[in-house]
Amino acid sequence: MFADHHTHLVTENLYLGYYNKEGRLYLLQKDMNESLVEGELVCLIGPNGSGKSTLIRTIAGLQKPVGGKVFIGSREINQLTNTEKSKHLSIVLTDNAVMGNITVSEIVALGRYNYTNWIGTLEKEDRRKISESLKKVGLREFENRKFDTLSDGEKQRVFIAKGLASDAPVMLLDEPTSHLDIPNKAGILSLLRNLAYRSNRAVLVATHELDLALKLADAIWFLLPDKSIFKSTPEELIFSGKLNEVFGNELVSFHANSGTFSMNTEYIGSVSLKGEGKFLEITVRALDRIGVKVNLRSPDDPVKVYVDNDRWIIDWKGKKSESFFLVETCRILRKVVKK
Amino acid sequence: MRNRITTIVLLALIIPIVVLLLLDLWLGSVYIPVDHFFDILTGKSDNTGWNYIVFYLRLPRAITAIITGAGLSVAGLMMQTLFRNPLAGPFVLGISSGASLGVAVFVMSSSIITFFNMEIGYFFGAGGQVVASIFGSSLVFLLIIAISSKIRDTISLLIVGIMFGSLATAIVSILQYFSEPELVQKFVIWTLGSLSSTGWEQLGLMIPLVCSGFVAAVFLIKPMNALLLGEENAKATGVRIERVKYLILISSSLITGSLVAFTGPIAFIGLSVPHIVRLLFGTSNHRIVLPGSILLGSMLVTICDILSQIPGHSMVLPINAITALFGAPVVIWIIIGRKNRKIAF
Repeated sequence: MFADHHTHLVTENLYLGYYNKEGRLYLLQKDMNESLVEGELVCLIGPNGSGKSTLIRTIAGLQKPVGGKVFIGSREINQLTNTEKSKHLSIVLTDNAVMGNITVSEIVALGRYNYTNWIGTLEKEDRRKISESLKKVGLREFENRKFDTLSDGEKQRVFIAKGLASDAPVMLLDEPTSHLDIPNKAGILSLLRNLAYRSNRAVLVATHELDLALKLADAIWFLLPDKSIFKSTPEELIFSGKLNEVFGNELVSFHANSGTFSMNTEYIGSVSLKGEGKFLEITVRALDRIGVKVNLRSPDDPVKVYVDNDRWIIDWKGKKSESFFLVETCRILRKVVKK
Repeated sequence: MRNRITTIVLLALIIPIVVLLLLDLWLGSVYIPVDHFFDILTGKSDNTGWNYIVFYLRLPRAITAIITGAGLSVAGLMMQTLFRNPLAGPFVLGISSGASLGVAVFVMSSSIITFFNMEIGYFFGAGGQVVASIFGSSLVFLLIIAISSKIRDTISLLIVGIMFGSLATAIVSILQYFSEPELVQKFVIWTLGSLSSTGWEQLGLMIPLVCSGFVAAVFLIKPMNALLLGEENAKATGVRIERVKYLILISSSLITGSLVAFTGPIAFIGLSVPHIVRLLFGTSNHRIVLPGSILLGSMLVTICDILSQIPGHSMVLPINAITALFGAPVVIWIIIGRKNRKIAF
């Protein structure tokens, strides 16, 4: 071994689920034996209703498991008091129902809840941790800003900073990227990875951002419909075919080679395409999108498209039309190919 | 730096309170010349009548005004934070009505169970009324807490509170129907709300009860700040949520119950004062809003008391009329501003 990796959290034969009003059990996951290791970002993915939130809440001790145990260090989580629990793990919930006139630093200061005295006075050490955490999430200048003047991405960062300020080695996040735009989604997830690496936290994030998770996570916990969990590196997951099994349907499928999902196009016809210049690649994409199969090699389709440097020429049974606009070309092709 | 300014402003609020207290002692149905008034205060006056008026009538009433204002505001603040509801308050949630019901049962049940109540009245006197009132208010509070775990919607919870109020009123009406006229009259006068029915003896009971509620509130500052992030988040932060809930229940029922027992239900103070404080200081931090509510609440009720007496007249308006005059518009303002509810809170 080159280094000892400290394991912070272990689940032992964990069963997840909930009881409905009539007391019937809905089982979401069974017999989970997983662990979270320091310095690693783990992404929790799975279809809607597969139990991502339940898993996060159970590990956090906010909800009792249906069976099995969660250990933090050597102790079982349900035997810890709220105070002890929150010293070991911080949790960022989706439902950030923050109320009122409260500043960014006041929220981050609540991360020091278990360290401050009975009335919550901040000591020098607390203040240092707060400004350090704000710096780490990139909100150094935001200390005195009111929380409700922030953007959604900034709000998530504030809560991550609160988790950091608590010094807890394990950080759990329940869909911190929902409702964010793409740069913010990427921003939050790469921030979490940096925190895992540099601050040596064990970070578990439930997220729907599959492509980002595959690019950033050290490990993926994939909740499968058969109530089991598939744990692997992103690469192993990609080539396992599990993603297509679970997420693929008649509309989308996952391609291991590119590591991305794409739409399953229903072709309405085909054209042969010839041309050169920067517009060729664009044209291939556009034709695929509108459901026209492109034959780059065989020139004997009844419809032929030539891409010139700045225009498109359509040749249909000898009749030619010419356009400078891709939109117009697509419009004509949709009509012509059907016939 | 900002904190220091806030502390100075809070301390400075004590000055207008002292001025208002003096005004409240000076003004009233009996006119006392200013120079003589200060003689009375410093004990240099030998006018027994005026001495009696100031020390045995006006001073207890002024102290009652201060305690009532502070108490109702603190109770309202705690309820607003616990239920995450800007319109919560002792009156709106039916807590005061619960207290009224307790008092009504205590005052009027004598017609139904004469012998039993004579015994109770004999043993407990004013204390019995307080116990009945605190019991009634905690009962309603407990029900509201139970229901609030089922319905999260702000407005629905308020409607339930109003329904509890109506239920309590209905039971009170039925009680009135079966009671002797003089007891009913006693009760009706009590419901109008009055700061003048408390003498030194009653204050000896009221002050410790309300102040123990304040002490609890001070210890609740830290968890209440965490509650601003929502119950779930507070729990994850390390707040022992159940304990905090019941501490808030006990302390605000204690405050509301013991105040209502003596002054009758006084509306709108508990609801509006925390809002005014949040607006003035631009923060929801309970370290500022709690002392602010205590100070502003005492100030406001003292002003209401001064206004209710119409200086120079022997007439005294019901205090409830005055508090509603300024309180109702505040409620309307909050509802209109509901689009900015988070900012208003």
